Amino acid sequence: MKSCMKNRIVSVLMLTTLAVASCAAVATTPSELNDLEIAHTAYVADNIDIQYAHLALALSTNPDIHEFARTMIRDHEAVNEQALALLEKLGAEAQDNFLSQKLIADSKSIIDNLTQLRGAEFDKAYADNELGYHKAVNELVADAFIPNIENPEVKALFEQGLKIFKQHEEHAAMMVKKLNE
Amino acid sequence: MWLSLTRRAALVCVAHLVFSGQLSATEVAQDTAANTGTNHRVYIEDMQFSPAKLQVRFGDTITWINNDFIPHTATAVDKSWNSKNLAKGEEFSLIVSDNTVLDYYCFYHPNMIAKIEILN
Repeated sequence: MKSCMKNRIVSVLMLTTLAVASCAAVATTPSELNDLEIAHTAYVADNIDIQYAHLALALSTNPDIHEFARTMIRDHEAVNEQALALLEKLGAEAQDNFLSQKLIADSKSIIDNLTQLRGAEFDKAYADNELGYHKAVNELVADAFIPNIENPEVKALFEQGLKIFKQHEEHAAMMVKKLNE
Repeated sequence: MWLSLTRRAALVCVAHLVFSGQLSATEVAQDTAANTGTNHRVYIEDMQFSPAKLQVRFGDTITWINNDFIPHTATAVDKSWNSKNLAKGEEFSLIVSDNTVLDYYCFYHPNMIAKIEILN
């Protein structure tokens, strides 16, 4: 009888602990994301920029836009390859989260808008979006992700990624300036 | 003039052979050593050329090595010489002549700029 009561108490305690852990695991702000959620968000953000780049290759005839778009595909695919290799090495799987979902939802409306445009209007909108997107993602990576990543290898990859994406931001700024001349 | 053209031809030829894999960077280095030129290395890492300013003499060899996991190029501003795509770990060499254009950049990342300086 005593043993049965003890087991019930242990079970209740375990369930309570899991429930608390589960509540704590649901992040509602970027800085609350865990390493695997951050990895998922970054992977999604990379894929969104690759999608924008494919759209630019299909709709633009401007050689500068094409070159930039090819660089985005080349670099973001390389970053994602590194991220997947690291996750495999760590035996972990990236976790979907509110921010990944928000990025995907936002990208759908941006793609809808871009696909309505042609010529110089498209080029300008694509370049403006690339500048704004890289600026926003770089701030997120620098201020919310890197300070909160716990795994040193994941942190190192994000630090390397940030250097690449800062170059992209500068490249996009050059492109915007040239298109406005 | 003849000498100048020969040097330019040699540069183009060596760069092509190294890039196409028919001649290794070591072979270039040995060849240059025979010509008493110095070998210099420029590392491409963390989205920068390092060193960004390299001092050389005519006849010296410069080898660029990409240590980043994303591809880069080392390309003259007028595109008169060009490593083309350098994946991680790949190298490109050229012998500096009086015709070598000294300012260069990464074609993929145009804010990555660097220069070669000629010592008297």
